[in-house]
Amino acid sequence: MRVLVVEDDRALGLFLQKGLRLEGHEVDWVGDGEAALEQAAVNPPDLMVLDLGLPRRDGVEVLEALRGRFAGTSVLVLTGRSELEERIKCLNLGADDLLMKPFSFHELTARCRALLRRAEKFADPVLRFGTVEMNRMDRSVSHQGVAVELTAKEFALLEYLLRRRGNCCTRGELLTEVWQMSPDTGTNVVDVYVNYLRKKLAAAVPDAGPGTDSVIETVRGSGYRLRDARKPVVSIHKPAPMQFALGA
Amino acid sequence: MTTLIRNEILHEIEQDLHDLCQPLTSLQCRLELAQMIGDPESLKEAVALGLEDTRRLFAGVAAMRERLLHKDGNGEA
Repeated sequence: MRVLVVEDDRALGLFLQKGLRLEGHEVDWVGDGEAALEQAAVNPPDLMVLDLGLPRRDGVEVLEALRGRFAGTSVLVLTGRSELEERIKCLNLGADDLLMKPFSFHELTARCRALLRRAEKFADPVLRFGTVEMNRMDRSVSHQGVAVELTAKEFALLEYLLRRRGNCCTRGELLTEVWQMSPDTGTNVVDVYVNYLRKKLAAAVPDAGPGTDSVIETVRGSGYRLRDARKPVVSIHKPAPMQFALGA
Repeated sequence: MTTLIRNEILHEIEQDLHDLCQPLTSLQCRLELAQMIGDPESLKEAVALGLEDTRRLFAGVAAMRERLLHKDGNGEA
């Protein structure tokens, strides 16, 4: 998920960015309200972690400007003040949750996860990345507009990769999130299913030409990520021919 | 008059508390994250930057103390 941290305290802002990245999110940090609105307009975040005391448009002004413009963005407000009126005002302006400073990082991440779960229930059923499109409502997938038939597990794997929007997904992460297996399980099931997906996506557009077939890239030593097939290939990792071999 | 002064002091203390929250949050989260990651480099970084947070906390406490002593010195508190 894409998260935008808006915090004028540099130490805290950078730190929150680092911590939320470790949680697997794509995180940007800005230090004032004006920059927050500019960044949100260019790259609408799924979640904004918004401090109230900001230079160049404070948090309340940012909430007012956001209202009605970014329906898909959840907002978690960070406040160092305890006034009830302020909290009510923020919620009425569209904040989804508030967290009082000082707070624990564990509580912050738990609240972020809760907000993202809640947002997911009302999310757009269509996920897109590059030339791949998935409709989670009717469970259809297309590549360059051509329908691709997937099994339930292939669908779940592609959905996870699409959610990560081109960020690397480790094999352990995919085993945990898609197969609900321990990341230490000695199995190559992830590689096998990635191979299936590659073949099916490539088969949908056999005349696409060289360099457009590797929608799923191998990140050497780590895992996989989606590549926007419309962009030129920087390096291609050709996977070795593979046999289906579940170790567990 | 006394009530007004007391309200003013309370307001200033609230401001001081607000100023303390920033480095305290930073310190708390920094230590938690270092504990989660657990490698020597993260722990070393948490200690180094954590000391910077405590420096800011000390400055905040000193400002609060100064304010209270000043009030007391004027015989207003």
